[in-house]
Amino acid sequence: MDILSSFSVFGSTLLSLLSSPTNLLLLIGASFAGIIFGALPGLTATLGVALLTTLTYGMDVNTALIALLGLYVGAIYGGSYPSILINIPGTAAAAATALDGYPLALKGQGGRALGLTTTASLIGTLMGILVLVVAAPWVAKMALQFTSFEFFLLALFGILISGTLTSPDLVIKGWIAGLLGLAVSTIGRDPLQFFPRFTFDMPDLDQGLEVVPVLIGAFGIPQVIRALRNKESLGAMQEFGRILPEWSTLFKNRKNITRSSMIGIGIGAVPGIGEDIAGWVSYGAAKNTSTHSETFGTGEPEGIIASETANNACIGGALIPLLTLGIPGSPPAAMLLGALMLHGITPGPMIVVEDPDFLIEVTAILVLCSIAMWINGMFLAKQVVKVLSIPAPIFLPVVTLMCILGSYALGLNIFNLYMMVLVGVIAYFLGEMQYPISPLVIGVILGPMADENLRRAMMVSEGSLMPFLERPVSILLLLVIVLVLLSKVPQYQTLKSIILKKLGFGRTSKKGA
Amino acid sequence: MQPEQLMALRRADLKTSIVLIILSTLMIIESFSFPLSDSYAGVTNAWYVSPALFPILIASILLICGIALFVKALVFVKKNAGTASAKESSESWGRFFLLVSLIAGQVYGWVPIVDFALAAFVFLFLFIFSFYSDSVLVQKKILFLWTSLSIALLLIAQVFSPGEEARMFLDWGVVLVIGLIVFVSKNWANQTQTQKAWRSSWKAALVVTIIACPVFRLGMLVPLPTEGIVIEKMVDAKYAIRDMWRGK
Amino acid sequence: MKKIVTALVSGVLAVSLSTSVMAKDRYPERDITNVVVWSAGGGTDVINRMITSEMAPFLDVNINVTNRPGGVAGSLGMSYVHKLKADGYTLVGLSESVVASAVQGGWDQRMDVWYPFIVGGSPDVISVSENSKYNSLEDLISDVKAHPKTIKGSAGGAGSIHHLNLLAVANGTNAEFNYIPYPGSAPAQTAVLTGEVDFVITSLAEQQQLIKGGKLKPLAMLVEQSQELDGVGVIPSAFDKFPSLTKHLPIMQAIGFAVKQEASDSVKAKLTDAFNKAIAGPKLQEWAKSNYYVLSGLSGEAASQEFAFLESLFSWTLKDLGSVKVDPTALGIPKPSEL
Repeated sequence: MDILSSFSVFGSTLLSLLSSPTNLLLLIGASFAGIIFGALPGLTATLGVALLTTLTYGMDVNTALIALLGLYVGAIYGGSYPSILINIPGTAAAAATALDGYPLALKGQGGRALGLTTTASLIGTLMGILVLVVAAPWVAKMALQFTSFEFFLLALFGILISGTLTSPDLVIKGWIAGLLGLAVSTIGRDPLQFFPRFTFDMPDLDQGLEVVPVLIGAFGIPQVIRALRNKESLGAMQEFGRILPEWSTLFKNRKNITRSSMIGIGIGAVPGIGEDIAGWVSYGAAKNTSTHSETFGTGEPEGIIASETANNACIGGALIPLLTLGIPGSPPAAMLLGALMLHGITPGPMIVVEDPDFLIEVTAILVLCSIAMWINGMFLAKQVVKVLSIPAPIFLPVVTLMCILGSYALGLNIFNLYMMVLVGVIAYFLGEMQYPISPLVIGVILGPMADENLRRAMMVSEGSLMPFLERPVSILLLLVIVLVLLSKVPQYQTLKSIILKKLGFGRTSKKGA
Repeated sequence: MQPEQLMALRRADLKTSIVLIILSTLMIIESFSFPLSDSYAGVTNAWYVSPALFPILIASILLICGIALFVKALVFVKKNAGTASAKESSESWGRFFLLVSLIAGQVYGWVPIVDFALAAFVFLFLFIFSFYSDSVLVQKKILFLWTSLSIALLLIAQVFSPGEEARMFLDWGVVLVIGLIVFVSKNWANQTQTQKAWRSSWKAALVVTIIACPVFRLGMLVPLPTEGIVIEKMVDAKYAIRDMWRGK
Repeated sequence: MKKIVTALVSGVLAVSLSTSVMAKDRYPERDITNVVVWSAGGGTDVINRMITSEMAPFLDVNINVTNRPGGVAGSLGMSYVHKLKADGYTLVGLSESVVASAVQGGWDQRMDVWYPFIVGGSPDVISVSENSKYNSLEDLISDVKAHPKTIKGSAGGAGSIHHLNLLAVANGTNAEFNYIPYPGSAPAQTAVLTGEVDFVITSLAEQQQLIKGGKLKPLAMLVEQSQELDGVGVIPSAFDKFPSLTKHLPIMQAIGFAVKQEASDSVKAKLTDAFNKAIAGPKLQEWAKSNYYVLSGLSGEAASQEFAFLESLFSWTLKDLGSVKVDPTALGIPKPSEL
């Protein structure tokens, strides 16, 4: 199909969708619901799409897609609200946003941070859509370069990123936190042979620990305990800041935005992993390439722009293998695949032949969804900041209840709640002892991926490690990993010497960082 | 950081490092009981396919890190033997224990067997009241009350594992207890001049419960952990209203 | 305060009285929940959402689908539903793979606690990548015999139905494959596309887009009938060239849902009626045809027999592979030959 006719299909789809008031209402409503879903701790895009699937059964495909994609885009964006305002990520995808978003909120710039994430999310989504339209077949081919070797290196890269999220105290504590996460991730049936590891004959442990309860336990519970125990107040709101896009800040970040979008699209396109990791990797990349990496973690707008652009760019990326090969690129995309199949559409290589306009229609709907998300976001951000005016002793108990509901909602398993509290109390003590918590969560997310793919890679190569050096993408990833490691060395040395001089023995800790 | 605080931190590090060393050693020992090189579940095995590979790798690095931390902390503690450790105030610990008791009690004691609406209300009420009133006396009373109630519920669940009928009965008992708690806590509020906090607490708890339960159960179709006398009636009420709507 | 309490109590009493009277034999009075034991978006989930959406109008209530995956082979979802009242308001959405849950230590019940309804399943097919040197199953098998244990095949997770199909092909042709496990059908198929493994066994429904798009080259159906595929031609049955396979195959998917066996006869009758009507409906028929599912429509006794067979087959196969926690004899599961 030539470009002109694509454009005419695109235009006519947009027009026909916009001309129906029901569709418009549904669009705004689904996007709004998605934002709320993402903002409530534990309720993820995957669960939201799953719940909507049944409700959209009776609708025609385009209407159903408006609802589903609107919710998907909104939920990925909505996770940034609690990350920024109360340092509790609503979804794993938004966890990296908390690192710099919450310090900004503490400085009274919560509104500004929300404004930046809203526009960054819009740009990220649009970039993802652009690549989806222009380069889908090419990106899909790239995604097929990922075998177990590359998956392992990608996981390793993500784990090493946690090395950049260092502890305010000893560097080794970052490593210990990451290793603890990896250790916890080995609990359950092993993914290759189904052998039960560290399950102690408890059927509940067979599936391993779920990411969502661990995430909420690791971030939510310690935050509640810390704030109420130390009588800390949450982010200040003397200054609303600007919610409308700050074009100058965004323009200054054009390189950052481009890189983050590419990372997001790339990670989204690789089958099986998605938003959860994209934010971290993009944040790590931004920090590593920044000339002032020491300001990351203290309220650096570059940090939230990096993670929020990337996790939303993931959506377009994840749809590429879904629509071209029928392979979902991320967990919510897997749910979307199910929803499409219910409507009699089986995505895959034949979709171009069977329904040539489908890709363009999806694009048009996605564009609408991202705009709806942005409009909703602009209205909501100003209102949402006001929750900080609720006194912490009233607000935080309610947050705790939401944490409990959120941990329960995805697996519907009370055991997840038991684990959440256990992880929460341990994470609180680790935090008090100046261990960074992010590496622990990254370890839990990436552990199974590293484990499974390392062993499967060696199984395929029959014990040889040579393929790591023979495959092009693998070499590229190895190079990036080595570069990241090298870039750490001199900076770390200079930083260490400065601090040692200043204090004589260690680094100061920053409360609430 | 003050030298005393750093001392406390390093002493804590010393303890954690010992825990880490023990934990990682146990993990390595347990890992060696996994299939190491025999075929398992129809998957051909070799050392590099063994489910023990990754845990042993991780645990070994963790062991090394644990030892390194131990040495670092020990050297520091030895060098600065004269420095005292900073201690948290007992009030701060009191708040900590209350927080852990509230959250853990709710999750281990209440949520598994008590109707979610009831559990949510009483949890929110006591949680908000204890910290909004900011009174040590109230916090102490609530810590004692909540911990004993939660343990009692945990025991009931473990020992009797009540069936559907028994749980309904229990729910009515809980309603009675909640009434008593609200009533008794009024006295505590009077004693400590925190009547305003008491009023805000029960109102906030009630409003949140009334909004959250239907939104999750009916709006998002998320089943709640335990559905007893309140939630079930709420669901029934939905059908009653729907049938009226349909004119049945 | 007192007024509020009195109002609340009287309200609750009124509702409880009104509902307890009408709760008798007017099933279904309220929405039914279908608890699917696999995660959202998978084959079992999609089929359950489909069948329940089609059944709902005949029962005049909504059927909500929730997912409660996890445990061993769906044990968490099954034990959850098993613990609830047998009032027919909670169904369990399951597939053939759950039958292995008991021997793997997931739970301590056999499949006979369920009154199942089988929607159907898609036949398994063995495929290679588009530029593979193999053009037929014979090519593949003879190469495997020449180089035993080096030709790599994927078939979803260890103990899945596709893994059992792979084992059956290995037994029926005396070929020794190198089985590489993946956590599901989608990654297993992707592994063929990326060239990590040489062939894959998953269901036709899961492969059809890739086959039609020319990414996968189908070698043979693992069922008795050959399969016509638009634009691709006929995929021959593996049984034509390897008749010995009939001893081990076919092993077909059985996706559907179940209600507790203890549920009352009227509940079962009403569900069966709605199920039969939904299966016969044009929407499901058409969907099954275009997605290469074979509709079964078995329910009750006949469906139970099918599950009993699958339970025996899975349990004893896994026992032979040495990956059971509980001996099938201890659970009273007969050998497939004894059925």
